Amino acid sequence: MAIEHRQLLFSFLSGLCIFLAGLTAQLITPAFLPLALIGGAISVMSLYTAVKLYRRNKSSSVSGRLEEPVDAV
Amino acid sequence: MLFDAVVLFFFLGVVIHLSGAKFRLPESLYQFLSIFLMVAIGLKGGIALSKHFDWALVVVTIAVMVLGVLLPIIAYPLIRYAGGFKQQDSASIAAHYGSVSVATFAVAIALLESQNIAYEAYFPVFVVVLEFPAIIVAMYLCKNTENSRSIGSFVKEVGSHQSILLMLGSLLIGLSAGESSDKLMPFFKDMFHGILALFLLEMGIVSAMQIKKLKQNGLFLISLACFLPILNGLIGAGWAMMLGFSAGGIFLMVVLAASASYIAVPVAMRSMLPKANHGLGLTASLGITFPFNIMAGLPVYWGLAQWLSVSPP
Repeated sequence: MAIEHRQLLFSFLSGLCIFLAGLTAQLITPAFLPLALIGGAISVMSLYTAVKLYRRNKSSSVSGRLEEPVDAV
Repeated sequence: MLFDAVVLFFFLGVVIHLSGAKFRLPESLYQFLSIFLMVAIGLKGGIALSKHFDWALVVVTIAVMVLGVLLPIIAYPLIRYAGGFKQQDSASIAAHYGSVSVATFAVAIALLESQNIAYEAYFPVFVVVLEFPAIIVAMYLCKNTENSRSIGSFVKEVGSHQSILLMLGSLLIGLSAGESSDKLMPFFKDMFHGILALFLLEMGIVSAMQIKKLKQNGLFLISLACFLPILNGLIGAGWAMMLGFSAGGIFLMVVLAASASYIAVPVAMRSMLPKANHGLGLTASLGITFPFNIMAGLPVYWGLAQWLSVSPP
């Protein structure tokens, strides 16, 4: 797995962990709400970056294919 | 407890920087503020230690140092393999997260005192002893790299560092002079919160400046710098429960474990691992973890400490 993908996976999972921990602990004290919000924001940001990366890779592979020399028939 | 007046000065510093105002405290004043805080914390701990000294404390201190070894060992594989950073960079960042932040500790103490919550008076001893293990672990993790330097030069470098000398020295003064050093306390105790507020104002400006450096690996560093305090804090809470601390003590232990160094460790790492990218650790600890702990972490850690102290073991 590429470094960029590993970093994104870690960001998403850690954000999700913080979000779920914050949400669960919210039952104990309302002080945990900012934690859930921060975790949620990190997860959403990593998903957004992953989608952006996927689109960039897709468009570059398509343009790469178009630029390939076509053998004359 | 959510918004203490002292903590609000940190927000003010961030707002001042974001508004584009060119405001910084003079370098000499900043030096004075940090010297004051370190001496006040050390002295207060030393006086308290002279009143409640117990040989069992030695065992507790060793247990806390083991925690200081454990934290960077846990952080290192996350940084190295999930982040894909080089060995020296990973070790350097792990060392930041294994060590402690005196400023975060000072805010935690101020919060407890403003609420009249009791805590184990010898905690400043732990602040001093937790500075070292993470640096030694980082050196060990990089022992086979050609650019690392000897443990001897590390001991000399860190041992002669201002923050270590001041805290350890004033702790020993408080310990040896005992109640006779009470005459210094009107200065070091009554002015503590005001001085801390000014210090946090400057830290708010500096933290906001660090955030701009998050161009490369930004999202990973942000998630790491928010995840590690939570993970380390939970481990610290377990450690505090094991050592039988009070609610205030559990809170301080969680804060120490969750905080990341940005004074002693960067200095030591610059000297010990000269080829590492030191901006990564400093940006993560000062630009993200410190504000995270001050703004969102402290109320969470207090909620956790309260919950753990009332829950049956």
